[in-house]
Amino acid sequence: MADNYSGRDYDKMPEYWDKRYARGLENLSKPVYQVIKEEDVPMYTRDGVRLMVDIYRPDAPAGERFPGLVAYSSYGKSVQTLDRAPLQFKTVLMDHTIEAGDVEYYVQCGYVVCIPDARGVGKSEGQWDGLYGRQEAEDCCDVIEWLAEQPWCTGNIGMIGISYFSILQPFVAALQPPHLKAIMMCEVLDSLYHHNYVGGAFFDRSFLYNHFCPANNQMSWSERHYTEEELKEKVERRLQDPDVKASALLTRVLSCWPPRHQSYFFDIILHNCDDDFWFERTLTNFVDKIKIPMYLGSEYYDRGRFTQGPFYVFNHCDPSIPRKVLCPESHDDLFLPHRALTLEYLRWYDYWLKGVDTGIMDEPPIKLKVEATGKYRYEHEWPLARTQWKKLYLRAGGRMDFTPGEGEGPDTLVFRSPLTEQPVYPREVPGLSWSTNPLPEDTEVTGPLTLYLSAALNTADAQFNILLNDVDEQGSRQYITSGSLRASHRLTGFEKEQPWAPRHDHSRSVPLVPGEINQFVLEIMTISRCFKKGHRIEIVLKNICNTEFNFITFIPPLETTQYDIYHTGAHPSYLLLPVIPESPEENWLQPEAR
Amino acid sequence: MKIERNRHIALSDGVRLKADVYRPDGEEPVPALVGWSAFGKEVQAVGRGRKPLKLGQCMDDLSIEISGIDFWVEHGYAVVLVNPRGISTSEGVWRGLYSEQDQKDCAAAVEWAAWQDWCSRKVGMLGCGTAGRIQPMVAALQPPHLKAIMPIDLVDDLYAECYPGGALSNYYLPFTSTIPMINAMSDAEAEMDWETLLAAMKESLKDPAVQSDPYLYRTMDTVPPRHFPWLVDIILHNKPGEFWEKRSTQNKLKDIKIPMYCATLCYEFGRSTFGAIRAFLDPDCTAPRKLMLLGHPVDRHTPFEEPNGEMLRWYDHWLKGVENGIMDEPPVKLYVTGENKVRTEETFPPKGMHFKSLYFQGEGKLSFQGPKGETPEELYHEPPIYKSQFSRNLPAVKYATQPMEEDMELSGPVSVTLYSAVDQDDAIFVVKLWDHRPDGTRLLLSDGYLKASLRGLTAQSKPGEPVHDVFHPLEVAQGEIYEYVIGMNPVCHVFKAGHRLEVELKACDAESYSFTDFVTIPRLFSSGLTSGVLPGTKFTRFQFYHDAAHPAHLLLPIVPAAPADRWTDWSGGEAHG
Repeated sequence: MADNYSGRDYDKMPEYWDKRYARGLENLSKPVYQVIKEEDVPMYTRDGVRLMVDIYRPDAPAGERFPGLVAYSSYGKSVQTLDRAPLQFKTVLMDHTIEAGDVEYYVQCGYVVCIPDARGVGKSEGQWDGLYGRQEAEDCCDVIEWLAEQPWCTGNIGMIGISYFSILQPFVAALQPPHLKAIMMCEVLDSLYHHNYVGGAFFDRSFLYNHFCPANNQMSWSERHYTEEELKEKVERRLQDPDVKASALLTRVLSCWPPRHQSYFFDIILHNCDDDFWFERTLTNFVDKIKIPMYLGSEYYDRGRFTQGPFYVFNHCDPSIPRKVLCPESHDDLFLPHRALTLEYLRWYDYWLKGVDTGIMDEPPIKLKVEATGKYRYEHEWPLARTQWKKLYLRAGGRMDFTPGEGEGPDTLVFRSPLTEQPVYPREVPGLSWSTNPLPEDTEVTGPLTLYLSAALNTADAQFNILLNDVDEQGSRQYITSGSLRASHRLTGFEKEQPWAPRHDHSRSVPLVPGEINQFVLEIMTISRCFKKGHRIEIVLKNICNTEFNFITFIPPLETTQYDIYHTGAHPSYLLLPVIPESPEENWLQPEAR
Repeated sequence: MKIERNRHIALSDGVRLKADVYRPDGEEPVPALVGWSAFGKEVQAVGRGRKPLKLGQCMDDLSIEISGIDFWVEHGYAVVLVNPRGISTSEGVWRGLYSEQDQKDCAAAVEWAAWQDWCSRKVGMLGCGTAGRIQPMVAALQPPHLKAIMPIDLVDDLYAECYPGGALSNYYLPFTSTIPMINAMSDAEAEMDWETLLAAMKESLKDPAVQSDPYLYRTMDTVPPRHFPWLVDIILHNKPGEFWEKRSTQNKLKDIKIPMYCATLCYEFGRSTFGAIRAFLDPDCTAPRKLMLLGHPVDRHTPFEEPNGEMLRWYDHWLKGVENGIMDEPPVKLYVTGENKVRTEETFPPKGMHFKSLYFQGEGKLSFQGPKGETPEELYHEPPIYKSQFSRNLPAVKYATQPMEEDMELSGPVSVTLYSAVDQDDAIFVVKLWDHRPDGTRLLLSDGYLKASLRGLTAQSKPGEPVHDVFHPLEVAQGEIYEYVIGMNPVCHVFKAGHRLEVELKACDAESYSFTDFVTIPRLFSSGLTSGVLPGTKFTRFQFYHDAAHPAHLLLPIVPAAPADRWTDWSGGEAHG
């Protein structure tokens, strides 16, 4: 791509705007103001804690007022407007945290942007207790209400920023601060537990928040909520878990007393079941309290809970709320600072905070980029009503087919622990794979995927990690997404009996009987993708979710694990695919020619 | 085995440290080996239930600095692992790596171990990384019952590690985040008055290097500065001086009176290799000493068990009086990569080492014949902060020899002399030395860095070992050609026949790294990807000259080929190479 230093391409109509629904674009706010930055402005929370915020506002005569946009995170306000080109998220970790968006542009268009240092972070007082907790949401409400009273603010407030800045927004909205009028997210997590323990299997990326969040004072939720004896007992028990004993990182964090090293990660490791810690950080518990317009977005992620989130909220919130969904890109395409959606944010907030109508609410509510087509499409419901739910059966010889086999298998994966068994282990993590024959035609898969696996294990517990790949004619694999399950977290049923919405009991582990064949149902993260004619859809079963043995994001076991995967009439195994037949032509977005 | 957990070591100022003791069953008193790691004692036990993994292949395992706990107990030693103050479960406030406080506390822990009922009153120390580096600093305090040490990794000059060639490196960023500090403060905060501290922090935010790295920037904009306080100290102490000297080995060697076996790997980056060699050679130190170079970090495992066989012989002799002849053997043991065999020597660099100049020539050649090529090579540096695409293949000017006609051993210091003009008022040079194998793969042997304005040499400079005057920056006039003598990390390696010696001249060492690579820094180094020094923040054009008036060259420490009977296979430890 062309090296565009600023990443700003605001003169052209974006590819996610449809000319049929764009009207009055000449009324969209234009970048006419100079920017004033007021650094280190103090404000006080309801409990008297002083937070430091940075204010970026339009240089305008006294008396002129503007709507406010709050960008709230624990990443530190000082790095949100660092002067650098947008870097691809995946390539340079250090830039992960410049996520408030194009602050300067919003101000030039006549908005005030307020970026606080969260409590206990950067220059703010108080004590930090990690991500997306009740304390943080309340503090953000206080910032919103304070901002609304400022002399240069109209009192109409929205929120901006991606990732952390987005995920927090619905929690804040659920507390209903009076001056918060609309929110817009790029990344939504319906369940933080499922993000850190995908299907109950630990995914330890959260240790990085120790890097990203410059806390000057921190304490874990657990230390606040349990007595010392209670907490010590819980820690001692968790330290005995095999997955903790195998890990230097987990052992180190859990062993600290008092637990002030990576206090947020401490909470995450300690609470390996969906329990009281997760409750206040789980959006599903509060989604019905949101009463303001929401624009829900997410990239297509390959791991975690991101892509599910917007669709969950879309379907479970108060149906009378105006809302939209946008999935604009694969997270591999994500660049930070994030400027790709600036104009969409502007159009949304121009409508809800300034009353400038450019047709954004005329569009059908859901807008998806269908990967591998380069095009966006409108939809009205989720999953799509015209979905053909097809079963791709696991077959012998590593194949998958829409017709089931008989008398085939089982297929066996023996995963030797890299920690005890292998003197020299292979560079590639071993796995079992199944793939379709080359597809006879372009096949669109849009929606949640679900893997039904009949399996026996040689142990009382194990992790299933499934990777989904798109394999082209030359055999090159593109890794698309994944799903995981901790085998001992039992299936409890399906939401509304929908076979693509399994529910598990993550509050406890129920050991399996080694050798017994059980059916396991894994959620695989939502995609929207056209698998091209001649390509193959492939799934790979592994114990740890990596292509290579170099960065272990799931903890490998200390013992050898054997998986026997059955696919017979009595013990079927299949991938439930949401296949989308032809889409009406008018559903496809018609952007202006670029 | 008996295991005693969370014993209290009471320090003279009232702070209590926690220690774990692993010791043999039985009544016979045994020597104690004290392990003092900044990563704390709890994580060391994780290595017990599992095989050593190749370094960098399991996240975070570089925190396991004490290896062979069971091995030592089986051989009749007690292992005492201590949490430094402010780390993991110990009381008190941690003041960063190798602080004076830690040195004193560790000396107290040595004495505590000596007086335990089960102890023979003879104490040594064990461990690598931070647990290695602290050892000579503790020995310099002369705790009475510390009888011998074997530091794996030493640091002669911690400033030079954090500011290689005078340019700030964020090398310690990942280490800092994995150190389990529960209560930490920088020296800067503890010693400066509050207003001065805030002013110094504000000033540091103007440094383009700090601005280019959001991790560092955030750290310096946090008040109080309790987010990575160790980084706060690194950034605020941006010149050599007392802060650094107190945490380095070089000035303490004359106070070490006990036997010391200096061991390390040949690291491409950092000061461990310098530290071990210089400690071994130091003429003001009267301690009996040995030196062992253990090969290349790409081969290392964690826990690092490779040295344990030799360490057992060392401590059997010095702590148990076993006459195993270890002090009769030549004092230097080298695992020479390329040959992948062991050789002993009387000194390092080995006797017979002579420097030879390898000249840069046009068309990417290196030759012993002499400089050639009137046209300078050009390199254009685009600061990563202004780039939207971050290629894995950063611009580099490459030079290589022809394939070697016969084996060539290089053992000793390495330096490179460049003649360069730049179009800015300062710049950062990055030099990388590779073994380019016939199959096309490469092994990174050595890195060198220099800030252009700090090219002035001091009187302490020696051939192959330039020392720069960091306090007196020199002018860099745009377009003018200057001589730059850049020190590189020492090597101990045989270029086999058919291999090429390759040098890359670069301006930026921070290549793209994925999520994965960021957290496996040691693997980073040996793959050519590194956090290295923070790259310059200005678009810069470099010209490199190599003609008769500008004889750019590498100074190579060539060692005559050793006859076959001088080599032995590696033994005395786990799988190597």
